[in-house]
Amino acid sequence: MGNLALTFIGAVLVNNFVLVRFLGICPFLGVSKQIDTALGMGMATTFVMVLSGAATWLVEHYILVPFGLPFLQTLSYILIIASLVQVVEMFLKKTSPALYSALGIFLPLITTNCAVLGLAIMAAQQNYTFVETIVFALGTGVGFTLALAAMAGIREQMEFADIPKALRGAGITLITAGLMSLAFMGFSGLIAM
Amino acid sequence: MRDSLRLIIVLTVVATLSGGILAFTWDRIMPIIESNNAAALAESILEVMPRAVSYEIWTAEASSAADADASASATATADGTSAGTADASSSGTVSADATASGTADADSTATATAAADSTASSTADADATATSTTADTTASSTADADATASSTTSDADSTATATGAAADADATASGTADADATASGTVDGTSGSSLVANVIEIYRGLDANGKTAGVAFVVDANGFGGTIRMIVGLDPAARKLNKVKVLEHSETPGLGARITEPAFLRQFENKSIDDGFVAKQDVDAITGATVSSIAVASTLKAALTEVETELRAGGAW
Amino acid sequence: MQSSINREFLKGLWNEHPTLRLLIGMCPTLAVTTAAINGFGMGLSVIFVLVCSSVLISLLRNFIPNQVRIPCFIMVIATFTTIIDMVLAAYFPALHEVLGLFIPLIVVNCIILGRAEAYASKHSPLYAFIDALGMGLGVTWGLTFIGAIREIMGMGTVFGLPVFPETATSWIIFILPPGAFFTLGIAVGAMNHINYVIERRKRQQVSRPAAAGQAVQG
Repeated sequence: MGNLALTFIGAVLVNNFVLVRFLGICPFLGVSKQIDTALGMGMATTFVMVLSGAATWLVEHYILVPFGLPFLQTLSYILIIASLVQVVEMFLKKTSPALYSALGIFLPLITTNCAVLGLAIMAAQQNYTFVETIVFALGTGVGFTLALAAMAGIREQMEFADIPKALRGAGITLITAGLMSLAFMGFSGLIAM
Repeated sequence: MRDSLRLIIVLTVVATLSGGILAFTWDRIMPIIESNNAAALAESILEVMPRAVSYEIWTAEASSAADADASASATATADGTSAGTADASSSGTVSADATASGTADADSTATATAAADSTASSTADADATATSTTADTTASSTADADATASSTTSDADSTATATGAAADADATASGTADADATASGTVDGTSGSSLVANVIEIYRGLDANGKTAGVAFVVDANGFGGTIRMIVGLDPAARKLNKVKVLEHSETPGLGARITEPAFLRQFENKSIDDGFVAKQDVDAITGATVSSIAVASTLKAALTEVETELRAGGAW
Repeated sequence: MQSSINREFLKGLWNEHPTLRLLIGMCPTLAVTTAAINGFGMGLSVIFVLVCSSVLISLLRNFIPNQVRIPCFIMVIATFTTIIDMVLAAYFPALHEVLGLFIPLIVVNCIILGRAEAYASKHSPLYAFIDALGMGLGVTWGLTFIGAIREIMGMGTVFGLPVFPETATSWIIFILPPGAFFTLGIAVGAMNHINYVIERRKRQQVSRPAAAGQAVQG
């Protein structure tokens, strides 16, 4: 139990996927202009991460390992994630139009979010158990949402700042991300892994 | 209908072709990767033991159980249901080929699960050691089962480190000197503390005449960013370290990663193993990387003690 | 014909530079550029996957039904990614260890799927090849450049060769995660600035002959 809590906190703070491991940078830069959209994107991504973490774990441990097919890992994982995103999209459309209208536009973007695939591969490398994988995925998703929402909060404030023309947009966002990453470095060593 | 059939056919064809190409490449490439890894390990082992010209994987019962069952390596089954990683390695010295990690007998199935993947290096030669030792084992629960199953625990021959849900379990399975090689296992449930050394493997260095020319062991330390895997060479007769080399680590670049630099590692060369290995006292810590430095120093001390005990028990010190 | 090939090739190197202009494929750009050689190795891996998958997709573009094109593209890309992963593991183990997770993640690199979808699936193999090569070289120089800056500032070396005297203090921050963001942010800003300057020059050059013409008329 304590171990699971450590896995969770480690994924949220210490090894934050966005700011420390550089996974999921594209949505981090693209969908962080407003807090609302950032939260929506974060929640949709967390949802897909947990599902795909579970699905890839099952495939890894019941198909790839027993049949000795490690070379199919990347191929099968990305196909699982892509089809999972499709299924989730169709399912949400049918069952919960409200949720669909909130998360729907982000779903197609998630397929090419390297954080989702990175999470699946990392969980396999670390040899996590099923429960650990779920907790790790949840922590990663929360960490991703946290970074995205914090960034969006800062960018909303920056709207009115006088920024040099060349740095406007991506430039200043990246430098801000650098400062946030510096702050997150303070968490390293929080948990002896 | 015909349309969707066409789509399915296209997808299946593309998937089959991709899988086929990958399988083909894997078949070609995998032996190269394996031999590279084995060669790199062999080179490191000899590097840390300057006087040795060859080495063998050291097992405790190599001296006593010369008749260990050779079929042991066959019982090592990789098992996918698992939680932790187990590095189970079995090995043989020149006298006992394929000494057994797990065991040969049906009554010790529990041990067999613990020793998931065994490296049976029957040829004790530097170059020909096959090393592929990462496999899965059922977590600590199975490891417990081993403990109860064990009747006679004398020597350790396979160390399986299962990082289970709760703690690191050192499942030490062993074969005794009995003719039928009944196997047994002991489980040390250890906490994740960095003071408990995770000695992965011990190697005995041999000089040209086949005499012991040093001991090398691979040990894992809990660093700042993750596991630090080191190989350590020592001279048992002189009670001195020869050389320490970092094999893998994930420390912070520029700070903790400097444990790989000669400036830090050189201070362990020719250091007496009876020293304290206390960072900032008899070991200089790296500025800004105290945690990594302490992890290396204290793990070395703990591992040296452990290795010495084990070697003495086996009568090889 | 010749000039259009040139244009397709050159656009990836500057005007549509994937990382510094279009801001896609940022994850490996930030993660693996702790040293110039790592960025270079990553760039070459991307070139391999990009060129092979673009050409193959371009060849197959008439056989793949529109509805399943994305899964097919992904499978093609994943195949080449896994191949380069295995090849690096076998022949360049040190580089493979540094790049680690980011080699399999080439498969979700927006550059590759983006070029497959936007370009290769609509053009002939020759053009797809030229486009992929240009984009790949763009990625490579971008990664190597950022890697070189970070290595010089953080370690005082470039491609492992010392550039500063021993006594110089290196700024470790540049090879830590924050340094990646800072370097890339400033590089993007510098790229924008250079383009503004070029544009201004062009505008001046356009307006000056016009003014001269008026003077003659007057």
